[in-house]
Amino acid sequence: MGTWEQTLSELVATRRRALVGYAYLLSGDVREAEDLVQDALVATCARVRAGTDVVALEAYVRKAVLRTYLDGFRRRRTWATIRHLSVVPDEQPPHESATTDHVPVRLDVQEALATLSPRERACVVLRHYDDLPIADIAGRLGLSVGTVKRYLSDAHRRLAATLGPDAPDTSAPGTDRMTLGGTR
Amino acid sequence: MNHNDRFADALGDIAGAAGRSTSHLTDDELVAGVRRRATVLRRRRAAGRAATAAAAVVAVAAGGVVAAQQLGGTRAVPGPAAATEARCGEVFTPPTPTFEGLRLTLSPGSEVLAERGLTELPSVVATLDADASLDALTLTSDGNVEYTVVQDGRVVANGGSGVQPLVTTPLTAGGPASTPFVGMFPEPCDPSRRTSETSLPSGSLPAGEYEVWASVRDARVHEGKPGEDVSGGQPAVVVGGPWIVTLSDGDAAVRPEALACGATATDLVASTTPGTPRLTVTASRTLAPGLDDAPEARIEVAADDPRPYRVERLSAYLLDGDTVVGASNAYPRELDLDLVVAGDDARARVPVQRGSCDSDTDLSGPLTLLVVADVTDLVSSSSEVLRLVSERRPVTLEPEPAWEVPDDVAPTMAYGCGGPTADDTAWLDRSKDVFAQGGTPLRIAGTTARTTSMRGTTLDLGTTLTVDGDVLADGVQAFLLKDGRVVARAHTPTPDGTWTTFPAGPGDGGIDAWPAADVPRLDGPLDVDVPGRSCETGALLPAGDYELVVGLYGSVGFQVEVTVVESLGTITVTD
Repeated sequence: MGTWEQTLSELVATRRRALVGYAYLLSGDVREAEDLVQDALVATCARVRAGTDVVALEAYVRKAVLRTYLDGFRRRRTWATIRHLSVVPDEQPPHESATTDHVPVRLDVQEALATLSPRERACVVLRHYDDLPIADIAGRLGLSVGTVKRYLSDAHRRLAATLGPDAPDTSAPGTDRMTLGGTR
Repeated sequence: MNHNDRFADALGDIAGAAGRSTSHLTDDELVAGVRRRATVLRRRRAAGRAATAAAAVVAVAAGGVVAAQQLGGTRAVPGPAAATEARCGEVFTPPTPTFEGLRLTLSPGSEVLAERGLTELPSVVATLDADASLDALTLTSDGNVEYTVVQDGRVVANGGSGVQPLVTTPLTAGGPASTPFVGMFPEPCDPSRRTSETSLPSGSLPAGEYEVWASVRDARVHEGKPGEDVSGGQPAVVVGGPWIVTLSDGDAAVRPEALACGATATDLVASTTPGTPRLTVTASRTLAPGLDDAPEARIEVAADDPRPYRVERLSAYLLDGDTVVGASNAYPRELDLDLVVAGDDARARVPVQRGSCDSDTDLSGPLTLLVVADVTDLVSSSSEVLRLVSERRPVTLEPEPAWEVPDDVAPTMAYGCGGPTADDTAWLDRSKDVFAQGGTPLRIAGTTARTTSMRGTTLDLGTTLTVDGDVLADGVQAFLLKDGRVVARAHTPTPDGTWTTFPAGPGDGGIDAWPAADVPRLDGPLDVDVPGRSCETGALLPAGDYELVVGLYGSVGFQVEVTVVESLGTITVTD
């Protein structure tokens, strides 16, 4: 039965890149992604007991990354933003060798993700990267199924405005748009 | 490959590229940093447990009622035997300490050894006896102690320590003890007694008396005075014990039983017996358990009562008449309220379940809330549980809302919860200079038909918002402020039917360009949803006066998002 420190070392050696990539999908910034992963590792390792295997530890760390990301954004108070779709931040991952079809799609996806709110972005990542069903996303984020559907619907609408035909399918099961508020 | 697959692949490519980017930390540096920080957090929890026990002993001593030897069942047994490894199920032979006089003893405040669990084993410190063979030494280790729990001479629980960055502990003969070690939680040898969770705690043992031993793993002793530069060191066995500890059987140790569904609560009357702690409950008249709306329980120990009490269970019952129709229980692990002494401001939120205890339906309508706290007196040698009963409170459970309390519903809102902040203000000033399409300044006019509303998820004020100007708007915003701070906020999207296709903007990139798309465009006055729940907790706002602020959330193309806000004055929320 390994100690938690041994499991931590194994996790970092084998899954660090995957964790940073996951955190980057949420935060959109490499340095912030690394900080998210480090904070999540600390939060998880402060509580985990000996004998936890790498697979279980990674699952806990991913949940902690998600929670830390959402908690961090709730503390930020900026509200009005100017987003220049053509601007690519410094120190971001270098783009792969460009092809006619591949690089433009990924660039647009990165920029399209940046237009989403934190919760919309988290829902999109959980849905399309982690391939989680709506109910699992709701459980992971502590939201109702209806709220997740709304976030996904709004996110898909924003992504479609930027990506056009490359946007995820808004008519996929579980993404019906909900109407809020009173009648007009 | 369809567009969903392409999108998923694109996400994978983005994640992969990010993972390959260069970091300023090597793997070893990252691991070392995480270990250090996680170790600090583990130690703080261990120190917190020791401090809590210390407070209990201090309270007893101050009252002068009970002498120290009447506490728990402490019986020190001298003389360890030959050193062996402690394996599950085997006859336990305590290890022989390497250095005479260097041993582990109980931390101050850990002497109460009755009714504990595997997560509450006594905290220990290292000491060097006055007659030790060495005048001074430095003990290095990973800062952890491993416990071995023995019953009838055999090991029944063990394990739990680990290797971490070095911790140095200087000791002098007859001098002060070290700081407490981090006690790792042992795991029961019986697999059926282990929990399935991979976070702490790891399991429990049947109630009863056990011998507990502690040892510092990977300890090394460096001969020399504290502060001298020492290196190398000799591997050492540093042990302590046995201590006779009475373990409780996890949750099953609580007596009497919680009320069953359908039981009558006639016999549960609010506690008024002099000399016993008092339980009071604060609860809103309307509760919404689905949004974490919960009553608060407070336990008060009389000023002249020197006894510490441990909360074994906190139960919230919903009664229809005198019959239990809903029940929920919280235990010490879940409560931030496990040990109470006189003078404490001991409070805990008591979760309430909205589901009926005997069917799949939700409870609704007027009910009665009754809270019961089962506590044990830590001074008494018996394990008798004292039952504290609160006054009964009438409550109404609000139906589950169809939507969550909005937090970051809109990508941007004028004010954050708790705002405005300096950032909010800066943008608020600027918004007056940012115009809608065609250079027309945005002007909004808000009206409220009523200035008083009963508490609820949405306040019934008849608030509307009209915009004067050509603007692309993605909804309206409403805020309630208390003492200048936002306590509730909601974003109401522009409803269906007002979308219009907007042509692409001029130019290639930059602030003035935007792609053609369907966008929401305001047409006529909009009804504004005024929120009635706290943006911080989700609970219904308490009755009182609030400032109502409404705002228009709009955009110039897809590049510049602006909000114009206006205060509509004071509104009153009533019970």
